[in-house]
Amino acid sequence: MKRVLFCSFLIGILVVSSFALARIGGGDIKYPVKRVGEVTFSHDTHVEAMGFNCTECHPIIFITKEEDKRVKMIHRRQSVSCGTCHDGKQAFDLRSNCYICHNREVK
Amino acid sequence: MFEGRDELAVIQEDIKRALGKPSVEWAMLIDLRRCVLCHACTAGCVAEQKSPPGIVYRPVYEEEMGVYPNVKRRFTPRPCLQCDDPPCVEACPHKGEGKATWKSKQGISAGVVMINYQECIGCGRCVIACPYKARNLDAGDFYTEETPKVQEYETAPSWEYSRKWVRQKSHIPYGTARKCHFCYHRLKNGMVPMCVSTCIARANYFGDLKDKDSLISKVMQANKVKVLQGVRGKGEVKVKYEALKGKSPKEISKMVGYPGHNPVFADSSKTKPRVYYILP
Repeated sequence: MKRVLFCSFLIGILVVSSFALARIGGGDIKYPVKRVGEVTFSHDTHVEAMGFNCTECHPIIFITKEEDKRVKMIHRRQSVSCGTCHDGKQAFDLRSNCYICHNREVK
Repeated sequence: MFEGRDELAVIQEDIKRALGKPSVEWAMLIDLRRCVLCHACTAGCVAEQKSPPGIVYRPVYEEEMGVYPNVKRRFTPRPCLQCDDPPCVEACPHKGEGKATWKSKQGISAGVVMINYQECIGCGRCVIACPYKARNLDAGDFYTEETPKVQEYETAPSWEYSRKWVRQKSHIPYGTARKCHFCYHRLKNGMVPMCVSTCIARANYFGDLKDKDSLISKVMQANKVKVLQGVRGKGEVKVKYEALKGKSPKEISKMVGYPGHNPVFADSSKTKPRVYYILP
């Protein structure tokens, strides 16, 4: 019984680790923000749920997290990065919807 | 047969000898006089890499030339040519060693154009840049998708680039660019690439070009070799980078005419391929 439990535990670890590594685009991309909490960009919601192709954003809007150091809130007005689609017409507006992306309430 | 021995045995010895050396330069030579259009290399490759629908690393082109009664047929297998001056790497927005794609210059992989599936963003620029139609984007499909059960041979992991890639819906390498890599995972362990080992006519030679005693060097010196200058595709249209926005992998492969139809040979090519041909 013990052996079975141990084996299933090992298999569980293997499965979880392979899942974590293998999602599209490396899974979730996190952008740390100081006061209002970090923003998590989920590839799953954008690719799987919304059904976008990779070419919708890559490489014109985003290349990679390391090469794009220009992801900022001000870009909503300039229609670049997140603001390209999140302008209130194609997708929800970045303004007045802070806590869909930011994970912490402002004190 | 080469000096009374099977070519495969000689090639394997060459590979083992090359692995012990500090630097290698892998190259392939395909003798089109021997090719019989059996598609054993294509099938072997698909089985080895567990290629999904729409992706063939090594197709074989079939051509008919001349006017009756002087008609000739030519069969041309086309792996990735691992160019020394690769236009696909040039087009990549995230190129560089350890990034999405790069031309390997040292180690066991020297000479191979590598892809890192975890870094590739799936933009499709390399697909339209390759003049040989060797690259395509993985659409994430399964052959047995609409049947009651997705078969085990499709979900089994592939070991490309010596790493384990579990194939599930929306998991990497979904969306990434895929191409032939001279079976890097097999080479590393001293094995012959799959297409070379399955060839029933022994039309392929593989080895290190720096090693003058290897079979490939000897055969290349004894024969006149040519390289591919380009491959034309069916229904191919010229695509610019801007046109790729929002396109799905299937649409892109249709636009470039993947996996090609008509090979064009020349004495030299500006991309400097590492795959050579002996024409019939």
